[in-house]
Amino acid sequence: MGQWRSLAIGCLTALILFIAGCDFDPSEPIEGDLLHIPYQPESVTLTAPETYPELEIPGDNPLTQEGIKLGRKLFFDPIVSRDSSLSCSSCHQPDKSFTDGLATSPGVDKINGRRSAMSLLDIGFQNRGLFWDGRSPSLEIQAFLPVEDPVEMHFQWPGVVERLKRHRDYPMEFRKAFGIPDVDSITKFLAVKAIAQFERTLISSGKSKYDLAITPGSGVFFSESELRGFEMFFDRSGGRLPDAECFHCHNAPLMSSLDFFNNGIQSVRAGQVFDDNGLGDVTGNQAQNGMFKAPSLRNIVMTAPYMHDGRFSSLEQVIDHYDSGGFPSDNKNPFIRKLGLTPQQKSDLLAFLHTLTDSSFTNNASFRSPF
Amino acid sequence: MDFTIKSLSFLAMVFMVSGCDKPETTMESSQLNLSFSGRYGTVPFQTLQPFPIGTVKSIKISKLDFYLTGFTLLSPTGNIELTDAALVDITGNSDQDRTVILKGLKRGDYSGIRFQVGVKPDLNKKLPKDFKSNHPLSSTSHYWEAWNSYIFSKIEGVLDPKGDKVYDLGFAVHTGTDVCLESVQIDKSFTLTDHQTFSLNLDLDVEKIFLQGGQYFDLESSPLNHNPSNIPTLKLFATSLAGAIQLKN
Repeated sequence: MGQWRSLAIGCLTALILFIAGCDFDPSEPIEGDLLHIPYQPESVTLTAPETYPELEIPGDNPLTQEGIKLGRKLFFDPIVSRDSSLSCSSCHQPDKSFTDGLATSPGVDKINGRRSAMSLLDIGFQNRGLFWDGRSPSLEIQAFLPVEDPVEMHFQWPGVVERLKRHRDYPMEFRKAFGIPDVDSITKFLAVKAIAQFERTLISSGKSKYDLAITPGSGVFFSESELRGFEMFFDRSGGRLPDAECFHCHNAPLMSSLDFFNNGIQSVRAGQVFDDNGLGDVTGNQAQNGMFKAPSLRNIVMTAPYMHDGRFSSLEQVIDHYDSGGFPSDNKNPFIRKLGLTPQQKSDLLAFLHTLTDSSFTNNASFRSPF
Repeated sequence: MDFTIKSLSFLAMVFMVSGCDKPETTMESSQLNLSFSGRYGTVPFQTLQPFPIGTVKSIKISKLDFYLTGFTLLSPTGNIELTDAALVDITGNSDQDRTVILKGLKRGDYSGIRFQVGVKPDLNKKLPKDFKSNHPLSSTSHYWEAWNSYIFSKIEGVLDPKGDKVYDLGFAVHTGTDVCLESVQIDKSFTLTDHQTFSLNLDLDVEKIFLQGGQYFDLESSPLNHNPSNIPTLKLFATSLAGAIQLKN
């Protein structure tokens, strides 16, 4: 009898525990649930080619090994898109110097955006506005936008954050990167900080043929054709060759002035209005309609098609455009003019552009998917 | 003995606390703003608006900016040299683009200010990469390696050469190199007081930039002026740009 009584009490206890267990909701936030994971971030100092300006890191988002690792994972993870089909890397592929080879890119709903995906090479140095129209002042703010853009990831940040909180690994990685005490402390602000940290690491290797050829003692020299192209590009022939006027917008060392220009690719409609007003739509200044960011020409061979709308499929077409002088308009950059280049001179410019190829950058394993 | 130590400690604490309460005043807390506005002759300047350049031709200006360096506050008791540099963008989007803000200035009475239009030689030896990105001299689009110089000023636009309202000739004037540095002095008495901003309103007559020796520069014959071989021409523009700046009435 005593045995039966003990067994009954045991069963009852087990039942109570079982029911109590059923009431437990693992999704309920538990304060301090990540505190057992050590938070020991290791700071990172990036190296850039000697000729480059200093890379400025925001005071509220210092680079750490853990932050970069998390950002890299988020960059390549389709978890940020509504149907988990697209990641940042879908449009910014490492082997294409972080472009996608398309004129415009389809989002999760198979609707194409209106502009071409820009290369992320040296993106951390872009301090005068990101995107073709400069609408984002920082990498952190930029990273907010594609997630909620209807023609890109078409999702909402609260949904992304919820997925991150429920993920097996991300809570731990956010803890290691940012020292958050619990899962509930994961925010979109931390997610974009991590992505920005990774993106700041995407720096040219400084080992392109161009970089080596202009470095005394490197033992690397331009071919005759490349040298002529170099001299026309930077107007350094002393009048022997035409000035191709390229350097006004594509300055060394970044091969971008970081500035915005109307390069004459769009014909103006009445009243200084273009099919795509670019910077002018952001600033509200009509005098800036039709102006777009001058992208870096580093790895330009890998980033076809060209221009903000991907209208040119080859560099030959691009050179032909600049040789033609483009469409007239009041704010077209005055250096976009009829150049009168010979076929040989065009070929020389093309040869020079090839020297800007930095395969050490595209082959860098740290820039590739961690998955 | 113990009482003395305690008393001294108490007094020290009182002094410390009273020291913390004392409002901080420094000798360098004043601000001077130089606010530029453009006009073309007697008409307010506007980006891309047509302005006559001679009897037939007209121009539209899309870009007009210039560096100012070598600021010196003029005072009978001793001039004060400042290290600031500024890029004034007359065609910029906001008043901020046309305003030079000089902070941390010493309070006092001044008889005027002198500055240089362009980048003074000690700064012109440097490169954009030597400056933080929020510094005006970090702008790579204002540096020309072929000159080893900053581009001191940029004036760009389109010209209607025939007077038929077809603006089909782009023009550009980019000045640079130490030769093109010009000095401007504004004689105007002002007083800087602690934690206060004083503004000097300056006027840029854009038409004067193109008037050289009483004649309009022939943009049609020479639309692009940015090459070291053009230095004499660029010097003329640098001089006329500096001469176009004056105190606003």
